[in-house]
Amino acid sequence: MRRLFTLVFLLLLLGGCGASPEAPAEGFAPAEEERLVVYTSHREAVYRPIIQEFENRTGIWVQVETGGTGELLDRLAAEAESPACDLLFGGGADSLQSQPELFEPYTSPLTDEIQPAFRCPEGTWTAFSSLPVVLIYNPVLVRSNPPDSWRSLLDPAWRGKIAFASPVISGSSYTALAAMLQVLPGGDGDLLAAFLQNLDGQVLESSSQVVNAVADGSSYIGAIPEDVALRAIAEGRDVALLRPKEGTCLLPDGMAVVSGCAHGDNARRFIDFALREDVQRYLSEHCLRRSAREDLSWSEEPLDTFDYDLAWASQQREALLEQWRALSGGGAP
Amino acid sequence: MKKWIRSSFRNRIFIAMLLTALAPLLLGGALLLRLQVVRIETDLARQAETQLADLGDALSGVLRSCEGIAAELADSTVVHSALHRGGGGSRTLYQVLYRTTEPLRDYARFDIYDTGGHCRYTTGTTLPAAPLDAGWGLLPAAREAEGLVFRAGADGGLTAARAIRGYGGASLGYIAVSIDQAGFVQLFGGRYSAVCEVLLLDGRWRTIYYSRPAQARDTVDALRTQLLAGQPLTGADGEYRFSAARQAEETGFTLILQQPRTFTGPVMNTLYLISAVVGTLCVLLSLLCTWALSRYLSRPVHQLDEAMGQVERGRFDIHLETRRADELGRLAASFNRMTEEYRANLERNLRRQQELNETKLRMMQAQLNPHFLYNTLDTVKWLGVAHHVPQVAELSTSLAAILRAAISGDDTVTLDRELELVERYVDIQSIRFGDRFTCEVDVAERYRGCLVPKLALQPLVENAILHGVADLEEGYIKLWAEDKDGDLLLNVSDNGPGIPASILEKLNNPDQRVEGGHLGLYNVDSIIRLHFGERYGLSAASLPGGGSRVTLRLPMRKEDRGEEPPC
Repeated sequence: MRRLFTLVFLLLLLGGCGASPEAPAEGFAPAEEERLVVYTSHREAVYRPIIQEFENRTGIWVQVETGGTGELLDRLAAEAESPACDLLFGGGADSLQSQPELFEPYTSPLTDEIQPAFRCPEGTWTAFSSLPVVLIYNPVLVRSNPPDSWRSLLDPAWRGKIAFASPVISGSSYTALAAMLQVLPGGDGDLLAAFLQNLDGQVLESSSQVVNAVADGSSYIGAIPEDVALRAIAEGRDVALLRPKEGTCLLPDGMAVVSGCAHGDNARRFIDFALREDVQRYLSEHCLRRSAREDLSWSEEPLDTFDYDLAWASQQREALLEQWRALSGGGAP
Repeated sequence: MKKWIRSSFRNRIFIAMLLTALAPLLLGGALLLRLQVVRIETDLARQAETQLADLGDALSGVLRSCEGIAAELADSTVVHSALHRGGGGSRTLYQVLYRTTEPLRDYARFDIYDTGGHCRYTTGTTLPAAPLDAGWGLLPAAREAEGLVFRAGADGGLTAARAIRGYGGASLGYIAVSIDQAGFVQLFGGRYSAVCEVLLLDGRWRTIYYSRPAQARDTVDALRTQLLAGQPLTGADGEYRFSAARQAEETGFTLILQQPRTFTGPVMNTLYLISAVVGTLCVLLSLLCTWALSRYLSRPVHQLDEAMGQVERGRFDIHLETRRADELGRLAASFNRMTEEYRANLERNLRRQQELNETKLRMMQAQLNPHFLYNTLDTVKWLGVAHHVPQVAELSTSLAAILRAAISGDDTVTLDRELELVERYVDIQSIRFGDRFTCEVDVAERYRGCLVPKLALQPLVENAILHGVADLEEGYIKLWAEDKDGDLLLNVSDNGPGIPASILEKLNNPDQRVEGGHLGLYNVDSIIRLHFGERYGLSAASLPGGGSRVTLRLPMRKEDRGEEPPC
């Protein structure tokens, strides 16, 4: 009797549930050694042409996942046991340096071409480009006294009118925050509290949201990476750019091979590719990014920079973000 | 479950019928559903195959001619000299260009670039304003390759380029071919069914062409992710079926046909839901029907089983009612006949036994001629009178009376006569015990006509004397009658030591009786129960102040003298 029941049951299962005769498309998927998984915090306009060119030249299939630097670092930390990703493409060097255990050191044969200030001695990350943080404002709404210094971010006149992305999510936003703390005199905790008070609870999620907020007038001023600002200006939006008079930080954004990843060789191949002269030239000409290579110096507007303390920024990252979360009321990002 | 099924014939029938009804139904339904799905899938696959083959042929044809035309142009001396000269529009060149590209101009645009990436000649309407980056993308790739190099355009479409080399391999410029959205519409139009969509992807599955440009991004991203994850290709929302076909190795392109799925997820779910509801309804209906049917079928067997149980417990008057003419009907009839036979047989045996008993009694009675005993007792009586021993005379008179009563043929006597016998017996015992007890008979006149079994009272009195008052100096026995619930109750009480509890229990529980003392009482009880039924008989009790009482319950019956019963 029991055997009969089992038989009937099996037949029913076979008949009813196997309704989708779908199999994965065999023969089309690339072999393991032709794959690369990249997590990137770059904007699509930056990563897409470079990755497609890499694919076309090498025949490697690149799978891209996007997100903010902080977000991606959290994801890498969560996946540390069995990494899904091979290469972190983008993210401030300070953010990458803060979690060196996630990455496998690699020194590219093209390292000598990189500007000396952008070289990572341990090889944890390799510089790709540099992105100074600049201040933007809406020239329609701000007619006089535009924000021209880091101190403007603490000026009560701009209270509630500042667009700023959460440093927990956005790496460039963290760089901006760290730069402000380094430049301005006073205790970090006090400065952070004053800044958050001036933000008046408005925290955005990405640099492009900051541009949108300033351009559409919902905020007056903001702090974002230079290339985002330049692109917005090139697109003819209501955004004007100012470089802080105290000087800005010129921080490299990096690429890093994920520790224990499945396609490490391809990841290293990508790093070598990204440092090539033609790629870097494309980057500065089409993506408005400052190249990391020494031979491709940006001709326009030499930058006032101060000595950004990268080691301090990466060491303090966890503590500062913790403080940020606590001050911005726990739940907010 | 198994135990439940095996416990009853009905359950077995029920389960068997349920399975017979449900299994083919559910199996058939599921199979039908599955077959339908498979059939449609197969049809779609076959359609996809033919359409993809057709589309592939068209595409590879065009790409081959592109290669041929590009090669022809790249080798053309007119082109070489025009590029050398570096001048503007050359009539000869345009003649060559138009003539050569004639077969493909409906689909593709041909441009001639110089080494700096500036477009010099085109079959398009206007020259592109922005130069191509000679250090990035297509042009360097063409420079390094031999023939035509194909690339997906930045905003979709197909671009291809071939380097133009002069003497000694020096680069003079490029022939560029581009097929845009409209070109592909032209090329693929009419080669696939209207409900389908076509995707052309490059070697890394980036969009070259999609007949639904608005969805290109989502669909291709989803397909690419699914391919890399090794999942079935279902697209962004799973409502379509995708069949892929790889094109010639040198391009590495993949053509994909997108067909609307008849059985999409929601449709399939609805179908399954309906099937499940219908299935459940069928199950319920089958349950109901088979339950009733199994009951109907198993009822005769159940009845027979019940009746057999009754017979086992000793009830032979059972009779099965059935009007069936089948095996079960015959079985019931046989059962009825069998019990009938059995009962008749039993009755015959009983009667024979009774007859035998009576014969035995008569034989025993006959063994001792009673007249001889009477005469002897009479002689003893007269001898007692003659010798002035009145006790002897009295004794023999009483004994003769008791003897006569005992062997008389009647089974029942009036209470009056029974009491007379009791008095005779008491007389005899009085002489034996020397007047150490008195016996009082207090029976109302109206009870004296009642019929009682012969010698039923005497053992009670004997019990009261022997086990009650025998050892007392002033014994007292009382005998009285009463009626209760229409029955006659005859009580004998004494002031003796009472009846021990163990004996009392046995006296009041007919089932526990064993052979031993008080045999006379047990006999009386048995005779009365046998004669009149279980509710009659003997009961005993110890009285609270000492002594005991034995009660005989009898049906109230009168000697048939045409009188009204007094009670």
